[in-house]
Amino acid sequence: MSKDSKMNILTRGLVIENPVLRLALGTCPTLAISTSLQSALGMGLAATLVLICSNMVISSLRKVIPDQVRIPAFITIIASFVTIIQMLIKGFLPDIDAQLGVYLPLIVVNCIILGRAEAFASQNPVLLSALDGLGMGIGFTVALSSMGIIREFFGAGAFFNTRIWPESIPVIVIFILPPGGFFVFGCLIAACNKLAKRHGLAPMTLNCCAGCSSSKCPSKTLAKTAKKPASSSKKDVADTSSVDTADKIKKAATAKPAAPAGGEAPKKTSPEPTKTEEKLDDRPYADVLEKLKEDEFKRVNLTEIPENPGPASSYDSVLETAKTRAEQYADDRPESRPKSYDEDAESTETEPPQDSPKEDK
Amino acid sequence: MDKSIPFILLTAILTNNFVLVQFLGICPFLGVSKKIDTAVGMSAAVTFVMVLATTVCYPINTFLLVPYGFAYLQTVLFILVIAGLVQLVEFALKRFMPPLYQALGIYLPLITTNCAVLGVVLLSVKEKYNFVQSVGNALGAGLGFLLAMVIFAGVRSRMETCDIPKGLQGLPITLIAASLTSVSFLGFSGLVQGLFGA
Repeated sequence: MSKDSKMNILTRGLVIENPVLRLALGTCPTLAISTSLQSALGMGLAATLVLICSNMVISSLRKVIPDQVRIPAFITIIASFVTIIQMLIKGFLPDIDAQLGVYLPLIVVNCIILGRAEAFASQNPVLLSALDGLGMGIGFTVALSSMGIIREFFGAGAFFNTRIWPESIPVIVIFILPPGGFFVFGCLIAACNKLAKRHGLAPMTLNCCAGCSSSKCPSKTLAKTAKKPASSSKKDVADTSSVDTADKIKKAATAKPAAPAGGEAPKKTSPEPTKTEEKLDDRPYADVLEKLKEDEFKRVNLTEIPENPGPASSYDSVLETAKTRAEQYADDRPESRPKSYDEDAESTETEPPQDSPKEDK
Repeated sequence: MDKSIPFILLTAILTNNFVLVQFLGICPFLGVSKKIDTAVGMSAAVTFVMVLATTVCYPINTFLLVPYGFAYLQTVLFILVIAGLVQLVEFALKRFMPPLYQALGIYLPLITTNCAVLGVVLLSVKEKYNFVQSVGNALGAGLGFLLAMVIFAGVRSRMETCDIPKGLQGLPITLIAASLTSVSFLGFSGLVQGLFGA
């Protein structure tokens, strides 16, 4: 990472690797605190200070902390700084403390701080870690503030506590309430994904719940892909906990789960997504397609699956086969039906469910 | 200001649902709630850790921190207790109940950085509940988490067969669905006050 210039490290956290909008870290305070611009700025300030301080301390202690007690040590350091910042804010900015409420001490479990400590500060010198903390903190503040501006504008008709909308127009209160937070956040991420796509970056996915200490933490994977090109894909955690539809598609498509690309698939923010990954990304509902394929089979009353159904992911060829079979047996003449059809028709009273409103015996 | 246990439970589950109203525990809520069985497993683990953490942290706070003026150490101590508890629970499960560990094992490390667990402990302290009320609050928080996760898992499984516009696929539509689920919980406001006349 030393080849990254200091400017690059500082500005990376602003847009390209914005922790909230690109890395999906720190979603809890983003949704909760962004009801107004003032509280958003306050939260951003607190988080930035904690981030910088903890990054610096962890970076300076990185050679001393043993690997097994890494996470508890990080948590202790971060919690100490959160306590210090909490007391400072309680003393000097009590309004912000009242607005932040319980989210101020919850900065401890903010994934941004633990994630950056794990990914960056524990492997880089002090100055670079401080710059990284500053960049990420400013990015967090920017994301929070943009949400705060939008929500305050629609939900209170105000900007920074001064009312902008005329008194006669009622405000859309739901933007201040919890549902509005989810909604604005979703729209903001959609807009950012669109921007990212235009600039050739991958869209954001939520890998955060794999835990900050696992190999799936996106802030860590970005650092790793820059540092070690041949990353060791740890197949430790099962993928059921993360939103890895690409993995499911891979398993459905190919019968080789141990492909090296499979380890890279969860890291959707890798710089060069391969062609197959991009193509598969367009069809995230592979298991639904499988089920539809089965239903289609049942619908045309095939008694056996055709000999060469082709690879499991090519639903189109299967559909083709099903369609031609359906056309073959479309007319009602007994001669054109297969033998088993007639047996079924004689034995059962009910007619098979068909879309065509034809016969009615 | 002595709130009864049913009041606290209903408040934590419905009116002040920890996930959809108080925004604690969003990461697992958005990430794990794709299928109902994983949602239930995660919620069960979170509920268990919440109740356990409250039972351990409350005595520490009441008898160790506050009387000796160490209230400022709450944050540090609580999070360390939670991290230690999660490790302990994981170890105990692996040793004594391996099938349960297999089912829940991957969710346990995630719970340390779950805002909801630390949040419920801090909120109990802030509201100055006594021991029974704190445990009731934690239990209610866990059950509310379970309720929100299961409902949302159902919503998401329905969404899988829908035709979502390209720009909204993935996280944005999940968040918009979460906002609509949260709107449904707005309907509970005033319920607990009306029931208990508080």
